[in-house]
Amino acid sequence: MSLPALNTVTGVEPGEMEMRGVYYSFGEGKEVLDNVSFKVEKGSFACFCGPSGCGKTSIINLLAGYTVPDMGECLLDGVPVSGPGADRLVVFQETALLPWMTLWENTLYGPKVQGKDLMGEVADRAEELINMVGLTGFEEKYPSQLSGGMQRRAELIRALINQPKVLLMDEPFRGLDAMTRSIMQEYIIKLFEHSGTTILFVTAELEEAIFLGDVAYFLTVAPATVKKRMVIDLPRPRKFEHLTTSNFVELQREAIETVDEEAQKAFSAFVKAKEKRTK
Amino acid sequence: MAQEITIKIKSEQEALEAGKAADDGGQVDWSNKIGAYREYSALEKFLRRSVRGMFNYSNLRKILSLVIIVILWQLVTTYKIPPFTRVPSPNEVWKEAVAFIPSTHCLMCVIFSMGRIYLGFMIACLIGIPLGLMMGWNRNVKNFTFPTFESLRPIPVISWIPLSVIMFPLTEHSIVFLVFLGAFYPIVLNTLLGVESVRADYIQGALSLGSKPRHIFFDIILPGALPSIFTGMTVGMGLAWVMVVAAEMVAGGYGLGYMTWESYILIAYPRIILGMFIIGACGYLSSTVLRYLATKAMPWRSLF
Repeated sequence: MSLPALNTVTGVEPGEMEMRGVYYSFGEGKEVLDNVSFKVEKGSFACFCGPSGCGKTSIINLLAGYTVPDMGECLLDGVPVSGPGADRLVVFQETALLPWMTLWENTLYGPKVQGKDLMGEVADRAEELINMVGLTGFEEKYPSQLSGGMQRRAELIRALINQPKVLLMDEPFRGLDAMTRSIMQEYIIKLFEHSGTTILFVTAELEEAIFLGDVAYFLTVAPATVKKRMVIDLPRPRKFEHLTTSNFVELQREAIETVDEEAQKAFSAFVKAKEKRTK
Repeated sequence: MAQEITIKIKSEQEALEAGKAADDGGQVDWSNKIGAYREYSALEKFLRRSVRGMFNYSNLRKILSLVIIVILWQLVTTYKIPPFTRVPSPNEVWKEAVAFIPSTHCLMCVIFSMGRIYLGFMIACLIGIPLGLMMGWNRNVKNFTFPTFESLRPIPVISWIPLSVIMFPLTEHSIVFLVFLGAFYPIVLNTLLGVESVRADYIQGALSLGSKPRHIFFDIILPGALPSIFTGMTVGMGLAWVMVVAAEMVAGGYGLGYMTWESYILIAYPRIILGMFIIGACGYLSSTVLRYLATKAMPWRSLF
């Protein structure tokens, strides 16, 4: 399947997302993040990998401004984050399209609540974005009438129409079948390579992280901290052919080793906790 | 290895494209494959479908179950098996129905009961839905009202009848009040439940997009709670009918409940059963109207 040609419609000014010594907990004894620091450069694609339950979603929530860190700070272009804003948009794990709005209404929801003129330029851009992800003709459909892959694409353009500086993606392809997933990866690569938005992409799949990202951060088990920063020097534009180059395989081996170490640690901690309980 | 993977991806894409072509209305020519395939005419298709639809075994069984009940009813009343010794037979009820249903008296009873339901139910919606929404929206409102609400709720609404007769000098008012009370609790509770069940990421997403509180309330909370609100209204409608019949039997006046009770006093037994049937039919009609309103109000729910 050939993807429709992309136009540079996003016109996005990419932002620089930074976390500086962030500690976060759900309360006493439930530490989630333990001194997390990183800096995602303007216009780069950063992937976050880690064992499940290690606090990846917490990182997204903190950067989005839904929650506040116990210590440390989150910065966008050097300015501390204070509350949610349309400059950092989140694409959620499960589709968060509003079921009672059509695709068109969903797409224009951001501009609508920001009090923008919905005719003219915004409508043109919406049309172009919808065309770009191959959803033309589905504008009047409700989310429940779209397939899983279509919903994810709709979510992407609902965020992109607001020209965010940073896109925060929290396992956005979770629950998609392998085929849809590979098509979505193709879309996100094209979107990224044409728009140049900074993307923070949380995923549990190592292969996906290496295939998509410029840089991958590996997190430890909870309370999480950055265990390793891995620069992925595969050429862009990314193609599926890259999946089999020796460079890719080498990176993948390195990633598996890193994650395996954490998995062993998590397992032995689990066994110890269990022994304690049985005593 | 490299080639294998590209080939795999390519074939997946081909499969997808083929699927898409079929979705787009691309006709697959089955005639070659099935051989003796023949196109039916439109009339033929319609007849086949409707006959199959009406007289399939599933529907026949459903009709049979109703027929069996009526036959049983006829048997127990003809042979006067206790406790059915004084129960009128289907035949008597049918004769009464033919005589009574077209009368003005019947019409007035229906109009009175329906009017009381309509008024009481409307007031319950107008107060209950906003109250439930506010309770879910604002913690202070909930803290202030929920304890009172929860301590009054276990009292069966029927037990309010004597008090409401004392409270309102006019019978009409006390009946409407009781209908209101019956519908009120389920409407408030379900509305509150609906607000609390709205997914957090809808609200977070909307906040990120720049929504102000009024947008969150009208674009997210209200439509998100709507399915639950309609559930509350349906349950409330059922209780409203319970209350109107009970209140009419006690407080009197016109109405289906009063008519049924009066038939007992006047020893017009077939009419008792007829009254029960009419009440049932009216109740069914009201919930059908509600269901229709629900599908109109939530077009995104009844697709496919």
